[in-house]
Amino acid sequence: MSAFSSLSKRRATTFVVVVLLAFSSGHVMQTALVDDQPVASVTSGPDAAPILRSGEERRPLPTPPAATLMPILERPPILPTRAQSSEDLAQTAKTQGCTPRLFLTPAPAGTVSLSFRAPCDGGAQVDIRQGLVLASQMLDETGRMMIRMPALTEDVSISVTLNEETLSADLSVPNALDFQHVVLMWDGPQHLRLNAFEFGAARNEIGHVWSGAPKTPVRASRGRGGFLTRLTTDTGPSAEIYSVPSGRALMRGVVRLVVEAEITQASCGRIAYAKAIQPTAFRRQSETDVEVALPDCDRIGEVVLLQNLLRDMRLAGR
Amino acid sequence: MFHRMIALFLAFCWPFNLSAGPVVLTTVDGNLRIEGELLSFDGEFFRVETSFGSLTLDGGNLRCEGEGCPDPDTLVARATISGPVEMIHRLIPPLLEVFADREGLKYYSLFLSDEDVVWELRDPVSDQLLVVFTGVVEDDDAGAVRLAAGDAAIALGQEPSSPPVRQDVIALDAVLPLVAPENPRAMVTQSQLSALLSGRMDSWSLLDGPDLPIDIHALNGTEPLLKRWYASSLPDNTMRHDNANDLADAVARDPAAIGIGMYSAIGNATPLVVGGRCGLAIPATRDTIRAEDYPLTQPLFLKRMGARQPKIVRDFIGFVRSEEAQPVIASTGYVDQAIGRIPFDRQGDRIANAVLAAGDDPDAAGAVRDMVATLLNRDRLTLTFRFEDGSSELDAQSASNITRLADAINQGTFDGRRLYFIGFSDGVGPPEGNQRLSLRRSRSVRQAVASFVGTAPVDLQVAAFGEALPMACDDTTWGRQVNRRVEVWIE
Repeated sequence: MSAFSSLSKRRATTFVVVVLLAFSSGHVMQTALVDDQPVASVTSGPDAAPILRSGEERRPLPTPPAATLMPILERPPILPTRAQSSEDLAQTAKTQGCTPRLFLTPAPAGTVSLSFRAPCDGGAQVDIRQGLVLASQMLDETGRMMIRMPALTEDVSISVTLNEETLSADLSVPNALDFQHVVLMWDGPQHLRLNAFEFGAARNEIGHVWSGAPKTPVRASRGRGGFLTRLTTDTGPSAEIYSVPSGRALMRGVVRLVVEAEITQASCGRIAYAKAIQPTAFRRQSETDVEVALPDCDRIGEVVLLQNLLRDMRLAGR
Repeated sequence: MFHRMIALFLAFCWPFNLSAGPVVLTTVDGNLRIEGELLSFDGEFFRVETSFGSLTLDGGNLRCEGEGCPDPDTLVARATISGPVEMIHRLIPPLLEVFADREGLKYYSLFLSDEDVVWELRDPVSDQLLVVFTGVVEDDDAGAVRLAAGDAAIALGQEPSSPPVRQDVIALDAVLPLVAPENPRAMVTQSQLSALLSGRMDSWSLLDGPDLPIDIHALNGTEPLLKRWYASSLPDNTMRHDNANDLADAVARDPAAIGIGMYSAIGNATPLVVGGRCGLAIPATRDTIRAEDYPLTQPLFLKRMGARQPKIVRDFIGFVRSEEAQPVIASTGYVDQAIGRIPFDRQGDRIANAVLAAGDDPDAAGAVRDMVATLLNRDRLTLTFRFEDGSSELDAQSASNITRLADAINQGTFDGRRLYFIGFSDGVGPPEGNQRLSLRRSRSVRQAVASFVGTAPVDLQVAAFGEALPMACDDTTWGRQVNRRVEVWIE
């Protein structure tokens, strides 16, 4: 008897393993994880078989490559527990209609496409956080936002905060480590700019990457240089991220990084506060706080150059 | 316990002088109680005036009571580090960060301007501030003044100093010629380089290049060195730069340029290999700079006064000199001083040169045979000893190598092994004299190392092969300097 039961348990385990393997190959995972329910259950007994949850809820989905499967794409809607009267039902529909949604999908060159929708919050400001990086964006009139940002780690977790409510989503980006990043962050109405001068480029030449010429992730995936991601608003947290291939660049040489602080009516005579994150030896990230005293207001329109805040990056080449 | 905790020192220069006040110091177990006037506390040791005289006590096991007790919040060690821009912004931050990791402390860095930066190390649990390092960018001269005035605990730079300043070589760099990547020239001889830099050779066409006038770029401060090695004086239209990165950028953009820059700041320019007329050439690489086979190495010094530093500052200095810090230094683009090994079979070029140089001379051929028999199956250490021009005095990098090698031996790195100090000479003068000279040099280096070595079970041998293994051509001062050396080999 005991031998029999252990055998059947083992068989049941095998079934579960098979089902999980099927899932991890990417066909049904999305639905299953979105629904806050067990994926499979096993009943005890000799004929135990996994029972999948009701199939009609499954939607056909575009299938991402197995390696870049994205779990937990959106937060399950919070349903009222009592939804009996018709009034309640209408309220429910409205709530669901306003529910913010966050989608992450993999994009070229170790980046993530972030799509956020909050239909009832058109024009609102949202904060976006990935690890140490905090930035903000404005939603359009329909409450949408589509941005692309580099994945700073292989297992990315990005959260978006709107009206003090936070949505999070995770994504695995296996090629994230093929790129290295330098981040400059600040808060409020300061005009800071990160400039990368690649392989000896001078200002406004092809290899000068900055918010005025941010270049594309495709350029980075082809190993030709880096690209800049700028996520800013006038009042919220802002970030600029310069990303460059770490090991397999076609170009080899040194990228010089210079930060510019514009002296404006709002910033003159004040201290510019910012934070920089840059790679150091052994792939660690190193943080530096910045407190730079800007010149007085008779120099509005000028730009202060910070040459030594960010260390040069050395690209080894193929 | 008692004698371990109490050490008697006289007349130290303490970094934290407190207003005197009565204190009672008690050991944590209550066995010892000392009353007196607190003279000073450096974060580690109390110095107290008692009825027995002035005592210095290890604060680690003591509780302090009384109005004279130091306020823990004011016991922040402070140290100003003065140095050139690249050392302050590129070399020091990763070293401090890894040091903090190793000590289990939290690292915090604050950038105030291109000339001012602050690093803090804190206790990760209590967040208590333990040490504040202030980095100030300035040149060697200003650093020396600041150090002498006691306004800086540490001065970094390229200029060696003399006592009472104490100095350690913490990293290496090298001076080297740079051209633009488009420049097809890969190598020049010593004499060609001299002609280029003195303006005697003023067009690339004289070097089989395009008919472009040569633009010379030089780094302020390297003129004495250039004069010594390359050219009596640079032409008037030489473009001068304060910063090695600026020089490299300017050279990289100008196909007609030649500049004398730094190995740590090659940037997007291309280094030019300098050879001799005899065909031997030594490119500047991490290995050749560590071994000083490349002659224009530039040691980078950490200088400090003899005054007692707070413990954490001393620990940091110790860390920077340690083997553990060497990979960090290497990662910053400077050359580290880790003791590497070059196997015999990677030195085929040198041996081939030796065989060719020996020619038909039976004595020379015999010397080469003896040498190969000695070196075969052994590795050369990257650490090499070289001498000041025309003297038996070791240069700064080599002097630092004496203690570095002795430290490694004392730490047991070579326990049970046999180390050979092998002397070589240049080829000027009669072979017998060169043989004797090289043996004398190898003996003096062995003696210097042995004087720092305790009881480690290491066998230190000497050998000498005179002019049998030249590394560079003897037709220039620079070549002869490279050839006069004591190498260290290991079984």
